[in-house]
Amino acid sequence: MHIPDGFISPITYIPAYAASAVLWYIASKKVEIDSQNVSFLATLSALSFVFMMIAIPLPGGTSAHLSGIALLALIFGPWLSFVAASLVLVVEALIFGEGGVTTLGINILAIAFVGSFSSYYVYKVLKRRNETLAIFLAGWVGVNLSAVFIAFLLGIQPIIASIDGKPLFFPFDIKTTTLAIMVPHMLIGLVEGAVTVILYRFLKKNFKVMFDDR
Amino acid sequence: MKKLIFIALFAVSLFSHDLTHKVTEQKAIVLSFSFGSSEDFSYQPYEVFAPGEKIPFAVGRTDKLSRVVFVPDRVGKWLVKVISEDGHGKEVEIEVGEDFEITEYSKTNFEKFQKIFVGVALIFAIFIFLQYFIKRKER
Repeated sequence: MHIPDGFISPITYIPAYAASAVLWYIASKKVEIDSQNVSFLATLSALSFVFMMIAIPLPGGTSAHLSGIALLALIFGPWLSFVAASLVLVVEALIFGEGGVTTLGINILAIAFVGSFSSYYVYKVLKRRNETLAIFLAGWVGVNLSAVFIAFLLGIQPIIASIDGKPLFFPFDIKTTTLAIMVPHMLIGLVEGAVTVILYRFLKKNFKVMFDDR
Repeated sequence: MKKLIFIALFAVSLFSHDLTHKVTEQKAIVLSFSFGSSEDFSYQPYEVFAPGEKIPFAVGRTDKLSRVVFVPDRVGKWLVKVISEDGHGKEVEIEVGEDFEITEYSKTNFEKFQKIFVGVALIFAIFIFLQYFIKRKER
């Protein structure tokens, strides 16, 4: 899902960097973490990193990966999840070349911000009706809304950055990107949802202290 | 006359046994084996199998620097087996593409998961720093 360098025009990635910076500033004001939670947050952030680094092959020659962001959002809330996921994306982009440096702002918005907040609010709205379904849908929606965001930004590139009808950056239109990105992510969302349910249940049972004040 | 023919035939037969040679530059594949340092798998036996072949394409021993060097003559999946007398060994598959470039080869588990190991370690290191600053703030 991470967009590499060279696919996105500066007219898109510069505002995305600015928006990410603003969100980081807001997060720095909102986030509160005590030293007891840090090790747990570190472990789940590392898990998220591992999930993002393992590409799962899909029919059609493409691949996708889990993110673990729904789990972070459900346990630590959306802002802390946003910060942790952003940190993971920064490490991936700067050290391992997973996702571009110019597109880091976009990847942070799509994966860390959209993923964390959509997962959290889906869970919050649905948990009273059916908690398991709420956790599953938090995982599924988080992955898919991030993918929609990515598909949209890629798909608008030919419109906003082309000369004489020739795209300067990403060449495919929104219809193509939506189809190419959403079909695999609808499938991978099922796995993300299931993994989120399993891990959330496991952690709630075995690390009760983390859930006491939630 | 008979003597002359005999000498001529003898001369031709001598000529036909001359081992000719030519020196050319071709793309070779070099595999380096190691337990840790560059010379610790030197002079060990190896076999190289061409794609789909059961009879070795090349046999020999690793050189002083623990390397196997061979020049593939066709595209496909080549297999290199090294076996040392003390029971250590390895099979490495190398996919040779057009122009005899290496397109893929079987990697070690460390190579496969190196990024993950380093990334996880890095993330934990960042959080350890974070914990240090939070604890200082809490005091």
